[in-house]
Amino acid sequence: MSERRITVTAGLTVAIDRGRCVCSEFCARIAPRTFETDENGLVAFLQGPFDDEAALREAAASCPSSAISIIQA
Amino acid sequence: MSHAAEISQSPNAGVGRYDWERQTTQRTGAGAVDDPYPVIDAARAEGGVLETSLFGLFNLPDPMAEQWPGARRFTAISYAAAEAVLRDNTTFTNAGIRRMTEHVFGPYSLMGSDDPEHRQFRLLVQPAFGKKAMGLWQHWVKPRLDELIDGFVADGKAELYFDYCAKFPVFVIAMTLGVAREDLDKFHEWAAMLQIGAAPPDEARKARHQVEDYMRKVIADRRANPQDDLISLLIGSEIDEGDAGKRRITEEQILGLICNLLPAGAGTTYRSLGIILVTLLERPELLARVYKERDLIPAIIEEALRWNGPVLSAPFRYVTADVEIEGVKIPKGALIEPAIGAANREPERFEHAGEFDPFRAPKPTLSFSFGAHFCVGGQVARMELRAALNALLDRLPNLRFDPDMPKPQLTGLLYRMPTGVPVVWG
Repeated sequence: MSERRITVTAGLTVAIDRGRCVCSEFCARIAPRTFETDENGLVAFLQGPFDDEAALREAAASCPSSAISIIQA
Repeated sequence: MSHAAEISQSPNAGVGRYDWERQTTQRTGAGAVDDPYPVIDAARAEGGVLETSLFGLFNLPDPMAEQWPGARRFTAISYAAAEAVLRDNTTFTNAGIRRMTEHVFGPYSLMGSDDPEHRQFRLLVQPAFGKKAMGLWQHWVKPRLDELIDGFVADGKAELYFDYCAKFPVFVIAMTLGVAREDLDKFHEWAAMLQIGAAPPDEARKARHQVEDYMRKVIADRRANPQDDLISLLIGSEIDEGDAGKRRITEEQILGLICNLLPAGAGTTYRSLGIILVTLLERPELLARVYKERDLIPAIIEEALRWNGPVLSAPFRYVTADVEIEGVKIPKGALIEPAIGAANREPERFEHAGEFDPFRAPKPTLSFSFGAHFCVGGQVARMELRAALNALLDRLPNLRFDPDMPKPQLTGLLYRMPTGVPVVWG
């Protein structure tokens, strides 16, 4: 499975699709406490505490390959 | 020892030390257009999508017209329009690039394919550009930079564009691919010929065959004697397809990747470094500050790539369905050029967009394109640019333009570059 999810707060989940990641590292610059690129050059989650919701949304919107999505419960 | 006097700066002559280099840069607009941005900024009043080719906007003959007779042509110059084109790789496909380049680049081209086929290919090669592989690139970087500086440090002056910038990224790619040092000059020429639009098709095809013949021997050698290098890593690259097992990269895919990688890495990083150096040399106060505050370098690189990047437009996209962007109807069968350099100067997205300001708040740009074809080598390029700037500042104090040489300028349309970087120091 190329999709991974984390729950940031109750009702706010972030999903990454590693199968789409193009390693722009925009997300790791915009939300550096949440995203990193792993040794294969694909997006991965850090342990947290995570960035705030605004940063997470900006990271999702900035992703060149739409590999990050925000899921609100 | 400087060869700068031999370098032609006459109008429309292209930029380069060698005939092949002057010819390839001339074909992409060097000498014909020095500053494209006033024309682009004036055109913004007409909207974010213009019905013209990029070259047409400058009243220059369009290099693609012959291969696309009758095709309607558009250029996206607003940030939103360029991003929309690059994001939707189904409506705006790279299949047209394949049609134009298949006879030159062969069937496996990252740039000439679309998802899902492109994605499968990209997943095989992306690890070669990620953190794990960075050391394989870095291994060649600092020794090469120091070797080049050793070559001219005693002279007190140098032509940095041709004796430093030009001789560095192509060297790193060639060495990571297992090319012998004595074959480096040949490789540099082949790399330039493989840039889209930079050479006539038969010359590009010949260059491709030369690269392929050479690399088949290297690959055979590495299969027998694997080493800790990038070509060995690529040969072993595979993707896990779950129940279907693992799929190993094919030799044809490796060769296809190399023919894409050579011009991309060798051309863009080379020209970017020259542009960044001219930009800093034109701002002596900033340059003096960078000597002491090296942590400004990453922001200077990002801003230079935004303000005057090495590529004004990402490769054109072929339109597969009638579509409308920013009120402009674009028919199926048209070609559209996503002018990333124009987008990066859009006043609505970037305050004082026409100014070089490394202290502006960081914001994503289209410098490395966008969408599924986002530049796979971006992290390697940034690492190389940082290293190349630091190595110069470490060893050449008080760098400034050579007062005895004509002041260089930035030039070019599709591909941007400086006419040279003549400097003195000390």
